[in-house]
Amino acid sequence: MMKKIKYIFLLLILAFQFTACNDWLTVLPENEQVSDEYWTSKEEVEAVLGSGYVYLRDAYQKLFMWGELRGGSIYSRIIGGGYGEDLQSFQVTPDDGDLVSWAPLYKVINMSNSVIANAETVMQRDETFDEAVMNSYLTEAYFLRALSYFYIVRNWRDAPLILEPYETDKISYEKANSSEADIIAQIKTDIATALETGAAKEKFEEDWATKGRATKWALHALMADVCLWNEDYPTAILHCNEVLDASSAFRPVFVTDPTKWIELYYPGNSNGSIFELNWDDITFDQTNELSTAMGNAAPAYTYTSQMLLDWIDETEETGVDYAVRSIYGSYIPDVDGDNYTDANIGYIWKYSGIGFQEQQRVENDANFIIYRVADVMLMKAEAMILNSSDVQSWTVAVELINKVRTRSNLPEIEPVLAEVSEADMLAFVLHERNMEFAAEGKRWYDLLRMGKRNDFKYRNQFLVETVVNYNNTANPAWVRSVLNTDDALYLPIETSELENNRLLVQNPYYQVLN
Amino acid sequence: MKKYLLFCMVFLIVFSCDDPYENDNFVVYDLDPAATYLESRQDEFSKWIDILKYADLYNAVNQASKSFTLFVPNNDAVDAFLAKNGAASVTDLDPEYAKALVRFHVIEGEISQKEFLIGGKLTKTTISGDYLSVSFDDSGDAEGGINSVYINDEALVNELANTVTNGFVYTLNDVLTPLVETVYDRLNENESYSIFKEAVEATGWDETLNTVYDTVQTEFGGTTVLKKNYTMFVVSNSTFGDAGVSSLADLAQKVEASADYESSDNALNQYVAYHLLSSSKYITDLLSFSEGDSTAIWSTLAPKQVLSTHDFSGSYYVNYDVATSSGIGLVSDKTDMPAKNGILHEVDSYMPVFAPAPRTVIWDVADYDDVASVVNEYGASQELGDIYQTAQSSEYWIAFHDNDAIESYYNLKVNSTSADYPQLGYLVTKSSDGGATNSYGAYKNDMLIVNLGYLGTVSMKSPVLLKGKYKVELYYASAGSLAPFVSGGSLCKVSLDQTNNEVYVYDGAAASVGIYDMVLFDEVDFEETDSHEFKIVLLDSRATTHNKYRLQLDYVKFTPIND
Repeated sequence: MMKKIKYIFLLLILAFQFTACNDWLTVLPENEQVSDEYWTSKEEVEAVLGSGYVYLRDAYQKLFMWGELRGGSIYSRIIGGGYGEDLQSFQVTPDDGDLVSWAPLYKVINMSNSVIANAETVMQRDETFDEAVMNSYLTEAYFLRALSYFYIVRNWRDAPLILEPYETDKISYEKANSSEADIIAQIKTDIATALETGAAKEKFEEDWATKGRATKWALHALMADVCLWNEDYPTAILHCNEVLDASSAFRPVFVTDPTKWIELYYPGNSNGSIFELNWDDITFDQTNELSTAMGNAAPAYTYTSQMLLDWIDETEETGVDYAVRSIYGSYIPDVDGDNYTDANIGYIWKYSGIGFQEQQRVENDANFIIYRVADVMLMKAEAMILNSSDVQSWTVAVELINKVRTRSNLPEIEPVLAEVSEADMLAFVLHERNMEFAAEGKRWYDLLRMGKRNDFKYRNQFLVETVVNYNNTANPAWVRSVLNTDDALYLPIETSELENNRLLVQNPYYQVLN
Repeated sequence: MKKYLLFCMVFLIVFSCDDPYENDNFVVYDLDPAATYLESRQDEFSKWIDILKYADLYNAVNQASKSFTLFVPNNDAVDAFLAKNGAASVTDLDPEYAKALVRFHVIEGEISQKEFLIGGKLTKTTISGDYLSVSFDDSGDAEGGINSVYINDEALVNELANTVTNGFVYTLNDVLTPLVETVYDRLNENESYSIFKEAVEATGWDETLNTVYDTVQTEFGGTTVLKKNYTMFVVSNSTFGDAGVSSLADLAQKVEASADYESSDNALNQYVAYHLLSSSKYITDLLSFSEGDSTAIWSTLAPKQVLSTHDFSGSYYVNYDVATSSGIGLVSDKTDMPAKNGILHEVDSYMPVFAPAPRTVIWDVADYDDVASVVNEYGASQELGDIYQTAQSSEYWIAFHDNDAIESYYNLKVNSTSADYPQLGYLVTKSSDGGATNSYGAYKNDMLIVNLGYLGTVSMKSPVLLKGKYKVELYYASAGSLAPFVSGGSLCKVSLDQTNNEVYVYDGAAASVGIYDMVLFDEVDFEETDSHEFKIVLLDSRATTHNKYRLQLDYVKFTPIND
């Protein structure tokens, strides 16, 4: 009997010993990609590239909030729901977690880095992977990396420039900030590298992919945008022309028919689009919150009061029946359509509408457009205004603006070019961009770009006073005070990043914060 | 047995766990209560600690059971402050003053950085009972944003919201100057107001103007402390000089006063009272008019006397006289002078008692000074700040039961009621646009709730109305729950002094949220300038039986009728 108890006792001890620390005995290193076992076929390269797109798509809410809320045309009505109210109140801190975390973008960058680093090796291992296909994948990887860094540089200004994939622990996770100029230079190099091979596609086999994956057109549009940010206007114009003057049968085109304006959003992936984040509920069960966080059913986001006034003005210019871009297009009022001038709330309708008047989409899978032809046209107009002040150059700009206006049934602008100033001209562009790209995650970058160029020449007019005028929620004196501080125009580095990467230096504006 | 143990030991050694975090360091965040936290930063804040100790409030702000927000000036700031006050060290300060100073720098309750940076008046008072206000330097000259945040336009905030276990510590570059002077003190300290000051003393108004808090007994033996506020239109000696007045005796003669200055009938007494309003009115308040109007009438503390303020396309006047096309001006830089219990504005005339021409008068039936105090006290207790006449993010119904201060305005006869509303109360409206508009569209964002049961009665005093004939209209609120009363209306008897009328409130309104109006009297004739007794008797039996019955009164409008 005693012996039996002893055995049971012994067995129990043994049993505990074997189960203890089980995980540490059996699990493979979690922090290391087993590269030798991966990277053997072209399908694997495409899968990693695909992850890059998926990660970028996962970041859409951030892209929206970062691009809109500080700009003041749209605001979050919900406080404390993760809808980014600290951005619109200019109260972000390093402790704001996801809201100020660049991690979603570095995930995309890491996927791109992996493709760029390993594609060559795979080509040697996989005979079916020919160089043209590899180069084509590389153009997409460069595009994703450049676009991600462009979002980073516009939001944080300085950030670590990481060009190698994190596949093993041998690479140090600690990396210091690079300057804005270095990051911009890298972005331009990436795009130039991608364009040089001539491997960038003009279209993909599947229709959605032509707009959902990076094409030659997307690379040019991105380059134009970067050059505009960087005040390199001749290059910006060059790349805009690559899109606007293209003769390829597969080029994206500016659809001039006003009644087709809504097709940019429904069904999406339209001719006028260049690159957009894709969702497909019916085929792939993919949905997003664009139509629910906006729309008119207790949404998190609506237009601000000043923006609503702009929409009412625009509706009055065309009349309700010809309003394609304003009422029932970009917005719907909280009152009956005939009484739209009495509206108190302007609901964002791009991601909810499917045609003229009050029809509403069933599937919550609206795409999020990053570049489209109208954007390239207005980028070119902006670059033409700044590149030269001669009448010919400005005439081109006016024509481009008027094309966008005519498509929305709006009267043309007819400035007397000999009498208007550069600021007047830029104000036309800025207004048109605000209305045309409302809720497309561009407004803040437009204001910041317009405000900071030329050593902050137009800071007051285009940045500070515009935000004060549009912002619905923050104290005007506070907004002025923040926006007059250069470092405060950018986001703080999130706290956990600073703890994990001790070479990072926090933006000085946020260093005094506790 | 030993054998088994040995066996086990060997196994234990072989399978012992590795600590995966063995070589990692972890940061432990130590947090202290407020005063201890300051001790840990002795070299920066030792002098303020000295003041805290000297004022005997050091341990108070270290309590764990309460939370505080401390505003702590650094050593340089304290040195500059002491030098300015001619004190060599902290102990040279008057202990009472030191206490007042510290109380002005401490808020009970937490103000987070987010709340703080909203700007404007903070929603919680300091322990001294004052509201601090936050502003920003938006000139663009200095580093902006969090580097240019000021309190009371006086002290630059160095660090925002350091977390301590019992709240937050904000550090300041300057000491805040507490507001301790009363309206009377302000008169007293300024030599150029000596004649007016003597008049105030001679007539006995000095005691009133020195009162900050008034303790009122409630029905059941409790007490309520009410904050008193005044607005004074003060006259300088040189302005008196222009009117040929160089002494108190001259002034008494000028206004034809007899010697019994302390009597309320006395002309000098009335003259002083005519320069006083019984609430704090900043210039912006005095110059905010009802829609489309440019003149406002204000009841003064002189019985049956009013003064008027005007904004004629940017030119501001007091008591503009159409007959002479002239008015009294406000002396620039000498307006909005703050005191603990009110505001002073200097006028550029000696401002005798004057009867302005009859005007449309909008009487907000909840606009009484102590109502404001009671409502704001409730707001402070709910950490909402001053909510009187200020729309909030949600609606508040504040009951006025058994409050002597309130019942001195509203004379009540209460019967039983089934409705779950205050018998008499104050409604703070809700705003969904940050206070710009309210959901009812109510004037001044408030309403008076009346729910006194069948045959219940409320009577109240109107503001002073200039003699003449008026049309009288009532503006009241309706709502969906009032649908049963909207059809057919709800009978009330209304009276102004001896003039009666029976009216059906809600008749003609819709059963949806909004403000509606009805005529109470087509014409009443006031034979003299005075205030009047306005009375409502609820003659609808549903006032007792229906659980949704109540009146929500917004205002009464008196429109002069010119013959």
